[in-house]
This record gives sequence, structure tokens and C-alpha cells, in this order.
Amino acid sequence: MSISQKSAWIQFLIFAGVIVGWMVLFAVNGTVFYWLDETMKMTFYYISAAGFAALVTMNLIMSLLGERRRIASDERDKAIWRRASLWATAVSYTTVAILLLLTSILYMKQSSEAISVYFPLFIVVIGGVTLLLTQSIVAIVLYGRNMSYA
Amino acid sequence: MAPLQKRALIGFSLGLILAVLLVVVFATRDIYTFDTDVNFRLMVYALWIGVPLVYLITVNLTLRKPQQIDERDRSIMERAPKIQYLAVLFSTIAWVIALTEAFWDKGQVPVIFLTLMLISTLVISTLAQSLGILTGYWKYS
Repeated sequence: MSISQKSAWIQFLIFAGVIVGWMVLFAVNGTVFYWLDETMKMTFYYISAAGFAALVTMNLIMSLLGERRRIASDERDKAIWRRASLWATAVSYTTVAILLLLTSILYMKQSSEAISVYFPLFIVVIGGVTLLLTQSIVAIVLYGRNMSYA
Repeated sequence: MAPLQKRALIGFSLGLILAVLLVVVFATRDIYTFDTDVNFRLMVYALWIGVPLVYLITVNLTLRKPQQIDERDRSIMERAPKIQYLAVLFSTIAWVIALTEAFWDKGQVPVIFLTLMLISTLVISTLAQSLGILTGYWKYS
């Protein structure tokens, strides 16, 4: 397993962990509106921050390991991550667009003219996690298929 | 100038004009009339659809003619989404910061801003794709 493939697996585990953490938090509190309770709000932020911090740490370690062992990613790795990024971008944009539209429609249907100030951040954070999770899944799938770099 | 480069430039210029018009339309009218004024909404929708449509017509016309595209063009097309990804990322972050700071005291953001966020993200995404192609040619030259 190459260092890039290992990165894809670690990235997947980190962000699958973030999603599971969120799900547990929402299930325990019985709502997805994390800003309604101060403890829930802080827990949501801690889980999200831990995920992104873990990603940065992983990238730093992988980069140091790569330099020390002189392992450079080859053309195949680059092609896989490029394709994974394309997929991730498309999936996350679509998710964010659907969430923005759905929220607008649902609130307008309820004749509500305003949403919580935390909502835009919530949608963008979901988009970010979707992006990184999709990128890792697609990279894992492409490594599994033994994709050629042509 | 390569055919794809020329078309990306035309697409970017026309898209930019439409995007500026969109900003002007919102700047000259009260934003909250979007919910009540049908003409205002239609105008916004026309401009919104206009930007990606211009891109599709100009750039995709070239892509349908394989003889007009070489390996360099393909390589540039493959790398263009990076600019698009960064532009959308920073525009959404800018939206979140601006909305949070502008409405923090009230605690609530008018729903219309979610629609505006969506419209602007798609417009920026389309413009950034053309810009990514143009930047690619600029780097090659």
C-alpha cells in the first residue's frame, strides 16, 4: 500500500468519525440544530475542529515521512487524487446547493423569513466534510481498481 | 491564441458582464423585494442562468470539435477545476463570515441570503472555470 493510499484510508477514517460523532450528538440531543444548546454547540465545534486538525496533522506526518524516506507520489497517485478531487468537488457542491435550496424552501413554506445565524456555517461545514469524505472514498475506490495513470 | 483560450476569454468576459449586472440589479433595489416582486425575480433568474449558459455555449462548442483540441488544451482543462474549487471555497467562506458578522446581533439571517449564496456560488464557479483555463494558458506561455 503506497503512502498516498494510506492517506486516503486515514482521511476516510477521520471524516467517517466526524460524521458518526455528529450523528451520535444529534441523536442524543434529538435535534440537528446544534446551536440551541451551549454544550451541544461546543461539542459540535470540538468534533469538527478535531477532524480538520487530524487532517492537517496527517498531511504533515505523511509529508515528513515522504521526505525522510524519499517516497514521492508517482503519476498514478497524482491522477487518482486529481480524479478524486473532481468527484469530491461535484458531490460537495451539489450537497451544499441542495441544502441551501431545501432550507430556503422549507423556511419559506413555514412563512418564516429568517433562519439562525449559525445555519450558513452549518451548511458550509457539512459541505467541507462531504468534500473530504468523498475525496477519500473515491481515492480508495480508484486505488482498489488499480487505475492506470494514462 | 488557441480556440479554447479564445472561447474561454469570450465566456469569461460575457459571464463577468452578466455577473456585474446581477450585482447592480441587487445593489439598486431593496434585497427584500426579491420575495414580492416577480419582475425582479425573473430578472435575477435570467442573469443567473445566463452565466453558465454563456460558458456552455462558448467553451463546450470547442470541446465538441476534437480537432480543435490538443494535449496541452486537455491538460489545461484538467487543471482548471483547481481554480474553480478555490474560488467557490473562498466565496462560501466569505459569505459565512459576512452573514455571521452582519446579523450576529439580531441572531437571524433573512432566508433570501441563502438563495443569494447559491446564485453567487454557481456564478463564481462558472467564471472561475473560464479563469482556470485562461490561467493555464498564461502559465504555459
